[in-house]
Amino acid sequence: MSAVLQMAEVSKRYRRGGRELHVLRDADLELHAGEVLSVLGMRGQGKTTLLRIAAGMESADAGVVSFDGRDLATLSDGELSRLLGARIAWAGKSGPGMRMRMLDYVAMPLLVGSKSSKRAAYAQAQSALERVGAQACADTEWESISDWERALVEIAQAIAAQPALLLVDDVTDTLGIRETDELTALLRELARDRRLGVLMSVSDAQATLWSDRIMTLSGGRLTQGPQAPSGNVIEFPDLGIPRRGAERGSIS
Amino acid sequence: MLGLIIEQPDRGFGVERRLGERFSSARFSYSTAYNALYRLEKDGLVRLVDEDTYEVTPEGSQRFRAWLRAPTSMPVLREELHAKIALCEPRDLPRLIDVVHTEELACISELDGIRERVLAEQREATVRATVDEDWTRLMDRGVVHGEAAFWGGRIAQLGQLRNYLEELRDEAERRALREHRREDGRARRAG
Repeated sequence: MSAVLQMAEVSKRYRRGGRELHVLRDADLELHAGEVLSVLGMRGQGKTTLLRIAAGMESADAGVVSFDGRDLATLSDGELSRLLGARIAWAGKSGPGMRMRMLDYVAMPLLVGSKSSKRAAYAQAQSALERVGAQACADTEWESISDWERALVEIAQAIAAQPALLLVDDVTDTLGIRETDELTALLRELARDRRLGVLMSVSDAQATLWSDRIMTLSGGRLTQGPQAPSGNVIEFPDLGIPRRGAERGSIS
Repeated sequence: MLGLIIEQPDRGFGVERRLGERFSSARFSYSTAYNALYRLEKDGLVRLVDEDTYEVTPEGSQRFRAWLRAPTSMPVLREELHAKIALCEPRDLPRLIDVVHTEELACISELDGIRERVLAEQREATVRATVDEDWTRLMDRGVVHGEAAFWGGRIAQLGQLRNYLEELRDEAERRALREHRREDGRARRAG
């Protein structure tokens, strides 16, 4: 299987409120075409940052991020934005941010900077909505649809341009058991049918059940379970502290 | 066990197998089903219909319905790990972080096992199932989600705990270094 996304020793720090936050520490990840990989972690653990770095929306402080074998750091802003529109897709929970029909919303990335005609873009958008089973939302607006329909519309918009990599940012956390199963099973079908690599961030473990692999993100460390067949498992760090001080010192 | 026999009269071996399939996270030991069937038969709640196949008796059926409707008991939180944390000293932190991380990996592995089970059983067909189609599988989905949520919660809690212990370890390390430098300075001044 070819790797659609590779991250090697990726690190990212932020300064917040005078404190340095190590969001990613030497994160390694490999995602193949047709594969669904879930990254499970609590809110605020850097899952969205990981996805943004994978999409080239944000740069890493260290390490290499490659899409389809191309190092994202070597690409120009123009090349990156073209990739993001066509080959790398994003599904989140933000919606259009303005009043519009969901068909227009799904068609939007196809119309911006694309060579295809308006008619072709709308046909593609309609077909994407049908593929996810959200055709009934075509003429409605974001404010009048449910969380479940919003998740479907976001997926429809993401797959409309036939991307190779789909980044799904925590779309299941407001869904119930049935909806979570349906959505994650749908992502699995899409990955299989379209040879799509799906990297999905989730805060509920139930949303990982239809994935091919699970990784966890906590304290900046991306970890894979011990039984998984591929990918990098973090080495347990050398945790030696000065013996003299440790024996004498107390934590206060 | 009664519920499994009500679902389908079965031999000890069959009950053992179904118990493992339906409640794998509970890790019942090998002889659980046989011992339970023996006790249930002694209490008149199941009976043998032929040489080795059990079926439920009317009393057994009644007992099962009563159990199903009764409130469930709260699990007791008695964690060996909590005791270790409560009683550790600063010098134990590195090893304790190691212990927490090992358990974290074990929990990820448990979650991974549930995921593999879900995929192996090809639940695609039942994703959109309704109550009149496949009741057992729909109920099983509730159990699977409960198990996944349990391991997910534990993974989150252990990750949070590891971060906390690492912060404390770093703090202890910084403090030790400061003291070390202060002692060095004192020694130099004295020399």
